[in-house]
Amino acid sequence: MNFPRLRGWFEERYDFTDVRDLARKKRVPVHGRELWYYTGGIVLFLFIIQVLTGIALAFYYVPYFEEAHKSVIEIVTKLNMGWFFRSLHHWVAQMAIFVLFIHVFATLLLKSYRKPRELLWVSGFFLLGISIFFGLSGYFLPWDERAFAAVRVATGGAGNLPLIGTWVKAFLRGGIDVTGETLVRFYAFHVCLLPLLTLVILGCHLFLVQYHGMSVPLSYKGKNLEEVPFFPNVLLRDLMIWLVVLGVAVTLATLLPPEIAKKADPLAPAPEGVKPEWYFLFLFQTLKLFPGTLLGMNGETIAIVLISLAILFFFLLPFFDRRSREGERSPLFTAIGVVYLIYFVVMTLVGYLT
Amino acid sequence: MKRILSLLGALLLTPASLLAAEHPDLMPSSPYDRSLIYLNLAFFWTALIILIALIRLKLREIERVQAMDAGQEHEKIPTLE
Amino acid sequence: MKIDYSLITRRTFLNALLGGWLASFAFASLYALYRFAFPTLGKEPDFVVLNAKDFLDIPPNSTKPFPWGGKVGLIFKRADRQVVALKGVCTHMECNIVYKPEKERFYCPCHKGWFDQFGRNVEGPPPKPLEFFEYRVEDGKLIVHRKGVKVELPKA
Repeated sequence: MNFPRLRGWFEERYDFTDVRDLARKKRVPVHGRELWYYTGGIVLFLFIIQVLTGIALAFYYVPYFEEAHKSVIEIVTKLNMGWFFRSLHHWVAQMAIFVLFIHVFATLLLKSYRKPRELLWVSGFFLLGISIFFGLSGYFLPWDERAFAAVRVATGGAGNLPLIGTWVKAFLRGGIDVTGETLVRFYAFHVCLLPLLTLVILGCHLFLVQYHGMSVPLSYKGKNLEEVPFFPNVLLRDLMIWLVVLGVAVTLATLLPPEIAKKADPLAPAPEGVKPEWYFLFLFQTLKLFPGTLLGMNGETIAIVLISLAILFFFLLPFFDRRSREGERSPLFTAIGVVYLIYFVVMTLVGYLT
Repeated sequence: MKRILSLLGALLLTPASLLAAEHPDLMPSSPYDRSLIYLNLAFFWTALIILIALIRLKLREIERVQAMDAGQEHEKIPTLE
Repeated sequence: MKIDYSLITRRTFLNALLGGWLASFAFASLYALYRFAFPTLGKEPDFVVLNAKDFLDIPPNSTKPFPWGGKVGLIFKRADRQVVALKGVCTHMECNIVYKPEKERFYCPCHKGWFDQFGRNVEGPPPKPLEFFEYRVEDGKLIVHRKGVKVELPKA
C-alpha cells in the first residue's frame, strides 16, 4: 500500500517531516506496569463506537416527550438490527465508563499526573465529568419511568449544591420540574454540546499525550528501560486489545439487551426500588450516610458540601502532591488514592447490593 | 448476515410486537431468529479470533525483523531522491 | 513442479492476509451499521381500501385525495360523472398535482406542467402520462388497486 505518486503529490505541497518523525520515533517504554497504558486507548475506542452507533440511532429517535418512548420501541422492534445497535450503544456506554474509572484510578495510583503532566489530569477530569453527563443524558432519552425518576433525583440532588444549586438545577431541567423540556435539553446536551466539548478537550488530551510521551512510574525512575516503537508494535497490540473489547461488547449486547421500562408519567409516583445508574451509586450511598440534620444544619447540604470538597481535592491533586512534582515517591498521596478507590468501590457495591 | 437481515425484513410486517406496549420484544423472540442471532455471534467470534491470530503473526514477524536490526533505517545512508 | 524461490515474500503474504481479513471484518461490521442507518424505503402498496360513500359522492368535475403509501392518490369524477382513480403525482419530478376544474386539466405547479382529464401530458415538461389505477366497490368499500393486481379481501 505505497502509492508513491499520490504521496509525491502531497509531498510537493506539504512538509510532513514532523509528522513522519513523530510516527517513526514515538516509543513506548516497556516495564511491569505497561498494561495500564492501554486503558486510555480502550476508552477512546469505545467512545468512537458510541459516536457511530449514536449517529445511527439519532436517525430514528424522536426527542419529543410524547414520541420518544415509542420511537425507541420502534427502533428495537421494527428496524433492521435496531435492537442490536441500541443494545450495543447501551453496553458500550457501560463499558466505557467502567474502563474510564479504571483509567482514572490507574493514572491516580501510578501518579501519571505529576509534573509535567498536570494538564493531562485536568483535561482528563473534565472528560470524566463529560462522560458521566453523557451517561445521564443518554439514559434519560427513552423517557421511561426508571430514567425519569433517576433524572428527577439527580437534578434535584444537583439543586442542593451550595450557592449555584438552584441555577444548575434550572439549567439542567429547563424549568422548575423535569418535563418534556428537560428531554429536549438533555438531547441537545447528548448529541450536540457534549460531543463538541469532548472533541475539543479530548483533542487536547491526546495531543498532550503525544507531546509528553508516556509517563513512567516512579518506581522505574533511573532505570534504563527498553523502548518499543509505537508504530506498528504498540498500535498492533492496541488493535488486538480493542478487538477483544469489541467482542465482549458485542456479546453483552447480543445476550443481554437492556430493558425498556414503561413510558414515563410525570404525575405517577416513582416506581419501586428505583436506583440511579451504577456510576452514581457511590454518591447516593454517601448521601444516605448523613442524617437529616447534623449540628442544626440540613444534613443533605453538609453531605453535598463535603462531597464537593472531596471531588475538588481529587481534581487539584497534582497541585497538592509536592513530592511527586519533584519526582520523589509520595506514599501519602498513594494512600489517599487508595482511599478514594476503596471508598468508590465499596460504596458502589453497597449501593448495588442493598 | 443476509439471512438474518431478510428475516428481520419479514419481522417488519408483524406490528403485533409494537402494539404490545407493556412489554416490547427486546430482541427477536422466535426460536429461528434467536438461533440465527447466536449463530451469527459464533461467526463473529470466529472471525475475531482469526483476526487477532493474524495480528499476532504480524506482530511476531515485526519483532523478529526488528531483533535482526534489519528494519532500522539508518539516517546516514544517502538516498537518491 | 517445485520452484527454488518463493513467489511472494513473507512480508507481502502476511500483509495481504492481515490487511484483507481486517478489511473484510471492518467492512462487515460497518455494513451492519449501514443497514441499520439506511431507511426502510416504503414500497407503494398494491391496493388501498377506502370508504366508498366518501369518495363516490363527490361533485362532478372534482377530485378527492386519498393516501397511496406515502404518496397521494386522487379519485376523480369527470364532468360526465365517470369516476376514475389515479396517482396524483406528476411524472416529471414527483410533485403533487392539482385539478383545475375550469380548465378540466391537472396542473403541476413545480414546473408548470399540464395533464388533460385523461392523464395525457399535454403541456410543459412532464414526459409521461399520469398513472391510473383500477377500482371496484365491495360491501361499501372502495378498493383501489394497481392495474393487474388481484385483490382478495379477507372475509372478516
